[in-house]
Order: sequence, then structure tokens, then C-alpha cells
Amino acid sequence: MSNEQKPIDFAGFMRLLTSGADPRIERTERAGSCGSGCECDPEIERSGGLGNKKMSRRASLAAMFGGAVATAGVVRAAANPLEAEAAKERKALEWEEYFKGNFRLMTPAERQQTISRLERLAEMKTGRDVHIAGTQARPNVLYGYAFNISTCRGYRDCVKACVLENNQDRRSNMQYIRIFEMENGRMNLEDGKADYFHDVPAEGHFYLGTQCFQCENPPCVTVCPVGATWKEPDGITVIDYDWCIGCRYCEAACPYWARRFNWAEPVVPAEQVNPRQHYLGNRPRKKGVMEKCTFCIQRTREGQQPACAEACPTGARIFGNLLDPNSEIRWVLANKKVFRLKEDLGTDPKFWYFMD
Amino acid sequence: MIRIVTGILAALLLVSCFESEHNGTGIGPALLVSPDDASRTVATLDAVPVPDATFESWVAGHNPDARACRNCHGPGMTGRTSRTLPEQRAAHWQVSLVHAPGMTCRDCHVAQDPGSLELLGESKLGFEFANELCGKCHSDQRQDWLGGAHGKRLTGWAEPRVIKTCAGCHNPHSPALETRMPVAQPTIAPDRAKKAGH
Repeated sequence: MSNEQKPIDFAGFMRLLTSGADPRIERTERAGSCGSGCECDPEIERSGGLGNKKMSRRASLAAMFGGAVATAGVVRAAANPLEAEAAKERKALEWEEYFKGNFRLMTPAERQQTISRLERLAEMKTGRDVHIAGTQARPNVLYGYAFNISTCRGYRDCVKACVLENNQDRRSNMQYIRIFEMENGRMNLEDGKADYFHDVPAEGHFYLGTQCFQCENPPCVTVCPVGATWKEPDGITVIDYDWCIGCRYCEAACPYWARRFNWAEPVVPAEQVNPRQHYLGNRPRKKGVMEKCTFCIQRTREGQQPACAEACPTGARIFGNLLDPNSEIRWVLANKKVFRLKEDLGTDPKFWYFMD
Repeated sequence: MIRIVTGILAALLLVSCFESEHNGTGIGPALLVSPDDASRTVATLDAVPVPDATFESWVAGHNPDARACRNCHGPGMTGRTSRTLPEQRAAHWQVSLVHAPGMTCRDCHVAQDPGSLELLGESKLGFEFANELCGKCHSDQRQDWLGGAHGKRLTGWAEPRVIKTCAGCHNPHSPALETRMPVAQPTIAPDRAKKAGH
């Protein structure tokens, strides 16, 4: 029968283990029992789910193992009460964190809870009072960026500001922005030199900066197998660092090398941590997850410019709302000759280059 | 809609062609503040009456004496000979004219009144209107600056728009920017460096 070809569901598999009955046969028998032809299990429905409680798999696992953690905390309490209390609290918070959902699917209350937990954990770890925002996208806003390759002088002040703002790993010297020193008349980025170290601007060269272009059609989002990265309504592609499994598909899919992987636990000296954070932005990452430029979501959603644009001393970086016809970015797009990188790929980056 | 432009020296002059170009939707009145005090500018926007979408010359708290030549250069300058007479050279010790070839002081400054600027012989201007003077030659840059493609923005991406004026970045006497060493040296993996032709 065609029913026998279907995969075994989790509930049916559990029953197989406990009763020895073949769930495939059982499913055949119960097919259509609720009158709608679905595959729901009337027995589980009656009893309110596994273990007589209606709860998700995550919640039930948490309940099963939660007791063990509490016991461990009590045992430690005997040695150093204060320290043990802190350790106990931290363990409990980490436990809750481990079983939370995807940020996109959380209710406002759940978002607030996880933010409170993360703030408390950060305070316990670094001694800093951090603030993690969950600010939503503004309506009628689509962020766009323009980069003036005539004006950029290669100072890399933007790179420095970006690292400080976004709590990037200092040990691996992670940077979202690359400034390429290019020979005049050449447009091949592979010939660009990013680690130049001399007085700039150098004679006969221009400077072209890359970062995440916040594509309108982002290939990195398409390939993510777990839905840990997505495009926000204001056009910023973000990552839920606690949902990312670190498979690096997105890094491979990005044609612009905009994504970075944490091969080790990121290191940011406590006194250098930027305490103004966003859940989808610059809050500290962990080992084994991806990260990327978010147009400084913690700043731009508050009306500020990204740190790179604010730090640029030459005004080569133009940031603004593409939906506002009076914005600078719209003026640039309407009046200057602009181009984007690898336009033929159809990624539709919201990051343009232009010249004086 | 009012767009605010500010910086070290200049404010916009009422020029009739602006009105036809922008028709009241472009650049509004300009605000004069010191460059290191942008936050105060924004804070006072609501308190100051702003003419409605005109290009009227409007300067908040403007005090011409505050930017007079003598505040920096000292007294004793008379006419264009001032740089050659020993006793007057000190008054201009830091001025080095590296602008377009053949330019002299009097191309911009009024000889008899060095505290004023001369708009290509047309009219006498205060220093706060230096942008207009620059724009007489650098019209492309001026156009970009008004539109939003040139100039350093000091506020966030939302309104109001506050950008530096010409002299906020360029020394009018030596407008080319100087070179310097970059910061934030990147670490580039060997394979990437090889690809990049190192």
C-alpha cells in the first residue's frame, strides 16, 4: 500500500520501541480515523501527547534533563556558596538558551526573555552592562549604500570603526570590510591589493571597498538549510547566531565573500566590548557560527549611519533610505553613473559604486 | 522640507537660480556652526525659526567678528604686499597658497577689506558664504555637494541633513588633501594573498 512507503514519524517510532508493534501497520489501520484523512494519532490526541503532557520535543527534553542540572548546582554550593550560586544561575540561563527557538518565530515575550537572559549572561561573563535591542525594521525603509571610488583615499578608518562597533574577533583580526587598492584603469578586483601598507592614496591608484552588499536576492539566504539567515523588511540580511549550525553553505554561496566564519571562540577584550548591541547585529558571536555586516543594524534602525559611513573622513560613503526620494542615496542613483559588482548574477546588491 | 547644511565657514546665499533648480525641495537655509559642534546644531534646530523652503540667507547666531582674519593672522596686513614685507609676513605665517596655478590672494579676498570675500568681482561676501565662492569654479563639486554625492555628512541617514562645508575638509589656501598612513591592517591568508598577486 502507498501508506507503507511513508516515513515513520517520531511518535510512531516511540510506540514501536515500547510496544513492539509495527507502526506502519498501525498507521494503516488508523488512517482517516479523525475523519479528515490526516495522519494524526487518535491515541496521542486523547492522552494529550507523549507523557500525558502537551509539549514540544524541545520542552520535553528540557524537562527531562533540567533536574540533573539543578542537582549539579546544589553539589557545588557546598564548596563556595557565592560562586556556586553564580554558576548555578549561569547554567540555568544557558540551559534555557539552549532550548529557545528561532528569533523569527519567537513571540514578543519570548524575544524579551531571551534578550534578558543574554544580557545577564554577558554581564556575568564580562562584567559589562550590555544592552541588546530587538528593534524591528522601520516601515517604508529600504537601506541602500553608495561608495564613491573617486573620493575614497584608502585610510581604512571605516574598517577600524567597523571592528570596534561590531565586536569582531580580535584574535583572528576579523574584518567585514575590505578596501582594495586598484590601479587606475583596472577594474579586476583580483588584481586589487587589500593589505597595502604605505602612505595613501598612492599615486596612480584608486580605492574600492567591499562588504556585505545586502542583496535584494541573497543567495546566502537561499542555501541556508536551517533558516538561520534571512532578509529583514528593511533589506538587511541578518543571522540568528543561536540558530546557525555553522555549515558555511552561505559563505560558499556568497559571490562577494561577505560572510565570515568563527573558527574559534571570538575574543574581544571586556573593556572594548561595545555594550550597545542588537540581537541580529553585533552581540557577541560564538565558535562555529557565521557572521556578517548588517549595515550596523543596531545603529541604522535608530536613525544613525553605519559606523563605517560615520567614520569615513572623506564622505565617500553615502547611506540612506532608497524609498525616500529626497535622500542622498537617491540623488546619487539618479545623477551619477553607478555600477555594482557582478550584476550579471542577478543578486541585485543594494550597494552601488560611483565616481565624481 | 528643510535640509540643513553646516560647517566651518559657510552658509548659502540667496541665488535665484537655486530656486528654479530645486523649486523649494532641495537645499534649505544653511546653518553656521563650528565644525566640532554638530550636535548642538541639531539640538537647536527646533528652537530656531526656519524660513519655509526658501533659500534666504539665514545664519543662526552668526557673528562675523568671530571669524575675522585678524583673529588668526594678527594686525598689520595691507593689500597684497603683506606677504613680502617682513613686518607683515608674520601675520600670514601659516598661509601657503597651493591652489590653482597663478592664483593670488585677491582672487578671493577683497584687497581693501581682507575680511570679506569677492565673488569674482561681482559682490562682496562674508566668510560664511565661502561655499558660493568655491562653487564659482568648482561647479561640479558644488552640484554634488548640494545633491548629496560630495561632502561629509555629520548626522544620521534620516533628516535633517547636516554636511560639512568646503572648508570643513579642504584648506581653502591648499585644498588638496594630504596623504597619510592607513589604519586597521588586514590579515590576509596566504592563499588569498597569492590570488591577489602578492
